[in-house]
Amino acid sequence: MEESAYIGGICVGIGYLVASARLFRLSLRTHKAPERLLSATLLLWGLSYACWQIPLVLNEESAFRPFYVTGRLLTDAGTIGSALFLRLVFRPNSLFANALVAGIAIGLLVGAGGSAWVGDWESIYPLRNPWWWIEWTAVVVSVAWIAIEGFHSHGMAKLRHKLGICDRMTCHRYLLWGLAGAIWMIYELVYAIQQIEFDVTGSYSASLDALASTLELIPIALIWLVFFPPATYRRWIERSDAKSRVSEG
Amino acid sequence: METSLFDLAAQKLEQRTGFSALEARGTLRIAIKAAGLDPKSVKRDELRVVFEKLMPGELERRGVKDTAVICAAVIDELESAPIAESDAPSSSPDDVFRRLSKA
Repeated sequence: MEESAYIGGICVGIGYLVASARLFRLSLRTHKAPERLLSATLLLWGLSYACWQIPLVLNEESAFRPFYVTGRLLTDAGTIGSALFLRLVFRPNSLFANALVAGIAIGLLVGAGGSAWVGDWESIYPLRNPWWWIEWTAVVVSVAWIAIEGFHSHGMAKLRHKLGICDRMTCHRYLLWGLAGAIWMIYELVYAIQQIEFDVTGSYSASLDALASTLELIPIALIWLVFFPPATYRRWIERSDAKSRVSEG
Repeated sequence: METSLFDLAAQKLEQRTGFSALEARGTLRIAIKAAGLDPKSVKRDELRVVFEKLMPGELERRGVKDTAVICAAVIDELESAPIAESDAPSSSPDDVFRRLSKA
């Protein structure tokens, strides 16, 4: 692996940790569950990135397994957190959403447990370890759910926006949220191909590594635009809305 | 069972149009969905917009006359009805996403 390969991972990890800290600070003011839950989710994902990058930075062979296993478990815990966030915010009274959260959690636990049972502690051998696919499927379902809720809410918000009961920025946030989920799905596909490649050849190709890093960076950038949009970006969205209203009128 | 804002609006629509209960509820559900809202969690101010902007068209399509008068009357009745909103304002996805952007 190239020496600079971990730079992207460090950027993503820092992005998650800072976003988590900002949402945690908000939760201290509001005492609301959604911000607490999302803050915890992003913290877990940020820490998982730290676990994956530390052994690369240390370049210490013995550090890989404990850090990778911890990183994977933190990712899984964060994935359960994201599913709980979706249930709480978008489907608070849905039995189906409860079942989906339970299914994701069980899939992650069974997949991680099964992988450990067959000796694939880091969960990196999809061709030799069928449990790998259970864990991977649970992650794919969770990110697909993010995408579906985002795009569905965006469609509904567009209708509300036309009637003047939803502001343009809120409507746009759902689109970005959905896009983040869709890109996480593509990332998971690339990640599966990468792991198969590793299982076969024992190494990762630089091109897939670069693609995966890019696909990891885009969703955190989108999450930042959802929750912490810069003033210029906000103005741009509002201006484009004003323009479209003029052309419609 | 507690009457929701949706149930009350459907009742008022039924009384003013001569629709059956099923027709009134169905028409209201269609209009609320067309507004991008959820009938289970629709709020009073949202329902007002539905009756102002979408319901007159829905009623005309169903052969109802004086739609503007009917909708205005239903809005008035809903405004004064002593009924609890079905959902706390801070818990809708719009409110959550708007609040989180203040972090």
